[in-house]
Amino acid sequence: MHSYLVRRLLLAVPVVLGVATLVFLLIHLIPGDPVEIMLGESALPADRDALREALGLDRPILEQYGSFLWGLCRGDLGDSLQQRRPVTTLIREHYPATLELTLAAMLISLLIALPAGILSGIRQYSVWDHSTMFLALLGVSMPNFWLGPLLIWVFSIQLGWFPVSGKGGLAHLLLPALTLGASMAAIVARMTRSSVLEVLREDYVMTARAKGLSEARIILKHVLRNALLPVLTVVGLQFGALLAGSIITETIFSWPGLGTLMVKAIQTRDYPVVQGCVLVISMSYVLVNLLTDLLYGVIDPRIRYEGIRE
Amino acid sequence: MKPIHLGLLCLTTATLLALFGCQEDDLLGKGILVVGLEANPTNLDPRLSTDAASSRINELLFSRLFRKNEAGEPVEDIVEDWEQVDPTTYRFRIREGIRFHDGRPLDARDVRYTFMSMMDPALGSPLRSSYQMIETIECPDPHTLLFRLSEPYASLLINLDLGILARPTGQGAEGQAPAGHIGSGPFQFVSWTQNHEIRLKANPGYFGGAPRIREILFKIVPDDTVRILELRKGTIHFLQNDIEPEVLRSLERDSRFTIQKRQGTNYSYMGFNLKDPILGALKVRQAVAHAIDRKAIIEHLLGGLAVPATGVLSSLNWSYEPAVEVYGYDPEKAKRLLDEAGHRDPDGPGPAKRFSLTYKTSQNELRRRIGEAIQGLLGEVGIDVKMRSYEWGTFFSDIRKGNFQIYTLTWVGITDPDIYYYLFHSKSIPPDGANRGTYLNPEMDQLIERGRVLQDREERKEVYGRIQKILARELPYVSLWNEVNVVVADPRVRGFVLRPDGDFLSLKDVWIE
Repeated sequence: MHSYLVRRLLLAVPVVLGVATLVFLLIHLIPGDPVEIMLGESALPADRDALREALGLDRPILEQYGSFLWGLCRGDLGDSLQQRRPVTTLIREHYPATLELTLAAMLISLLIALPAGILSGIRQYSVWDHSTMFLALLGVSMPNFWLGPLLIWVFSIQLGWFPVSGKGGLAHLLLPALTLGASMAAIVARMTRSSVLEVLREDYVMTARAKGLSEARIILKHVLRNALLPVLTVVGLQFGALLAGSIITETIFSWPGLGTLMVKAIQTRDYPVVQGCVLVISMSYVLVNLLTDLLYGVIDPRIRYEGIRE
Repeated sequence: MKPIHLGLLCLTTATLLALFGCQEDDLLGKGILVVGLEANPTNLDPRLSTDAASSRINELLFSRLFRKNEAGEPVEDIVEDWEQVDPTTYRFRIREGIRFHDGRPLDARDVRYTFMSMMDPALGSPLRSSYQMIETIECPDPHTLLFRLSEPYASLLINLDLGILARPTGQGAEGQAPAGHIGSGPFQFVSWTQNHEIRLKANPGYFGGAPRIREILFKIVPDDTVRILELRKGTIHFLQNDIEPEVLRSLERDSRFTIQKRQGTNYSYMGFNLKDPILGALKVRQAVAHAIDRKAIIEHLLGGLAVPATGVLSSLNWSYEPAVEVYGYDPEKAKRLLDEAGHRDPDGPGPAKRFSLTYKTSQNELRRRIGEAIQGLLGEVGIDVKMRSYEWGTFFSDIRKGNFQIYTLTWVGITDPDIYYYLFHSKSIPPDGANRGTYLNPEMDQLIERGRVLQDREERKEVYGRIQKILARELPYVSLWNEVNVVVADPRVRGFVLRPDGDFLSLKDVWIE
């Protein structure tokens, strides 16, 4: 297990480097000069040149890339071109909010999706099953930029139960988390249903029934653990989608997270901030997938991660 | 589901809602005004900020030597009196007894520090070019300043509208706000949660009289729809601009809000690339001007929230010239002008067009709709317009590089006629300015340079009048409209005066009924 962990963490390095390189190239290739955006059109040419030099933007692209990698090794992501503050500080200010929203979205979606999917699988073709799958279809079809304002209109304005936007206590978190997690809930519910249906047809389930075990015991002890493996894979992959989808949700709900920071940074060509944000998101994704793989071993004892045998 | 399970579920839900459901305080009743902002300010240091959100808040945090009045003229703020000693020397006497928010007295050295630090290339201030004519600033005594310029500059006073910072003393106090936020304005900085909110509180020692409200909370809500929903819920009490015309109509029918409207100084225009072989012909530009039905666009797309413009300066400006050539909607005249320019309609009423133009705009939804309307109107006179909308950074880059034929944009907050140097002087072709269409006219250059140095107001007005007439005749821009500023507020918010430049300064005089 230990060697597996080390191997996976080492493998994460080229993945993160690859992402960093790709985003570095992309952000530098798109049109738009960050110095012009910062200083505006009235700036003196000498000031423009001086700022370009101070920010290192006058150097060859390879040199800038090398400087970026070197900074990365030292944990220095540079300074925001617009705000003149360290990128690590900006990320430290914004990332917890994104993480909070993403984890809350994941929790809500699992709380909805797992029971719904399990019950749908157990009660196939029932009213419950049809209703759940219909709602799942709605959930995956509704874009979050539409769902968010709809939830606000109903629950904040008409019913007055929740704040409209902003970050605060749990009351502020529920609607954005629901908006962000709705699509994932739909996907996980469908996945869970399919997985449960497949496991219910297995011989060992039939054997358990023949032995006279209660339905609840069969579901909880025999069906669930086996059905959850593919679901776990989807959940891990969906985490990346949640992180990416948080950009729109954060904008709608004025949630001060990484997505809001990144959108502004892209518009103003704030290269260090864009690079830093993408790095953090990609590292988060890699770690979550590692966690997912480790959880396989917890759920299914047959899965063990061995070291290399001599 | 068994009844007991259903009951437990309902009880749990009700408990959760009771615990976490929204219990909104009446902040307005406590003297806290919540103002909606559509963007996060980039920097509250007045030397470094150029975006509107930062400028609006800086107006409340910082005093300055001069402010602008509604006609765009400089009015003394911390300056008590002043004189122009000679064409390149100004003496200012600043008021005594003004204190910064941390209690320190404001004196001439703070003013000197603000301007000298801003002009230091190491700071990288985007505003430096506006002050490059200042050679030295002397402080003969704690309340007197002597500005010496390298050359006469008639617009100096209007450019002294820069927030004054406390100079560093090297003796920071515990819990002191960052140095860039310490001003002497009517409100003082409390806190800033990035992309969330900015809190200011009243400065009881403000030399212009303490504000009557306790606090202002600027709530940053980028989404237009959500901002209006916050207003409807009562969690935002005040919104200025950035309201869709259709939404404003519904708010006007709602008795829970008071609405103010006033013509502003924001100037929307269509710009031409004068190096383009088609658009380089004056008759083509005149035809385009006659083909655009501005009144219809204002009525149907802008909800009446604009007035047709005749030039860069609004009719409220002290140097505005009303007697300029105007181009009313006249598609038949547009067609005749195109014929005269050698672009005959190849098939008369048929579908073939005279020529094709690419029209660039941003991805803003309203701008795209305006673009579509213009596309249709120009199509009616035989001009095929291909509209291209781009993300802002890409769009701006194209405009700066001259990679366009026509585009529409808005100049925000134009108050001083010296803007013509920036927009139309031959030395202001990008990257050195905003003469994006490459307008070249030696007579215009001379007039602009003359306007910069003339000290007599009436002489300046005459010069700028001639400039406006030339521009209206030669059409490097087609003037579209001046936007109307709108304020929607809780009726308990009283005393706000909507200014043409759309600033928030009047919030210092607001009270809660």
